Amino acid sequence: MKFIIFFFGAGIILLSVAIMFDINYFNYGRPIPYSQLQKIKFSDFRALKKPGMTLYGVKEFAFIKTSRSIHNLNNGDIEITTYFHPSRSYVFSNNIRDMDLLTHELYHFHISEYCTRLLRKEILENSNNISNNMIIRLNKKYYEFENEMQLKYDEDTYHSYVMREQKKWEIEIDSLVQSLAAFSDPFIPVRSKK
Amino acid sequence: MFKVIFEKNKIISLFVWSFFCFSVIKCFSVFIYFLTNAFLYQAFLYSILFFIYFFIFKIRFGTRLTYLQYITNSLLFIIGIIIFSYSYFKLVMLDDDHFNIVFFTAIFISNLILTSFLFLLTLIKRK
Repeated sequence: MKFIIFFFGAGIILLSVAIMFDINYFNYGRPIPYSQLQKIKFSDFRALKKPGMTLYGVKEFAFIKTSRSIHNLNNGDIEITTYFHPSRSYVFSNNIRDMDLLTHELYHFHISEYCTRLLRKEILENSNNISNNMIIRLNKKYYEFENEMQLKYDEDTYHSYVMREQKKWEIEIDSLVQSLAAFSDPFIPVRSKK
Repeated sequence: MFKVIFEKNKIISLFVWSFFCFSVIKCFSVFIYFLTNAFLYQAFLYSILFFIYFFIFKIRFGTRLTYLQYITNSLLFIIGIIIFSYSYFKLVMLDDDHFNIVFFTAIFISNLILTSFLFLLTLIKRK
């Protein structure tokens, strides 16, 4: 019995330490939806950096964690929201006033929202025969698309260091997000067609 | 022959050990960052940790495992690790994080080879 208590307890402690670096539960911040984008500041980047983690050898960096949540509402409608996760997003110093870096990180959030709007558009266009499995499949498809886009954004701008590319991407992302303004509402009315 | 390893206390013991090992590796990969996606290193560490269990089993239950019992335990150990990893992914990570089943299959296979090799070493020592 001592063996079980000791190793199970030790496992719990070690796992708690590991989880803290994936989601900082000591300084937890609720996920922020895209509609509250303007409120995000570097002080909201609360995650802990894994020791030894660098960006091509540079220790002064930031990363943002975004996700998409899909809810089937009681009335049959679907709600799809893009979230920013404070406790999973990191910046090397919360007090910095580097607006360029913050803008770069927030454009990752814009890309996530763009993909969410693409998903909403496709669901709405197929609302006659949409099923949960189809939504899961589409969500996966747009996550893959988003990952590629996020990687290309970081590659082209070299994580905000290449200002000319950064400005180019900002204009492109703004226009892409704006082109899908009709799908900015998280609620998708599919109730009668499901 | 397999009845020895499928008794309740032995299964619980293996389950607790695999949970402990999963936590150790998880914590290790936080502090040694390159370990996060290095399957061969992870497989090696899991093999070493499972090999330690071979002696724990011997001390706790007074039975020396045969090769077949040892490999069966190793299979159960890795299945436990995969279950814990998947649970971690479901409970802690977000749905756009990847649970790479190929990565765990690679750990599964390489762990079997490495644990077999380590078992072989114990036989050489006996002779």
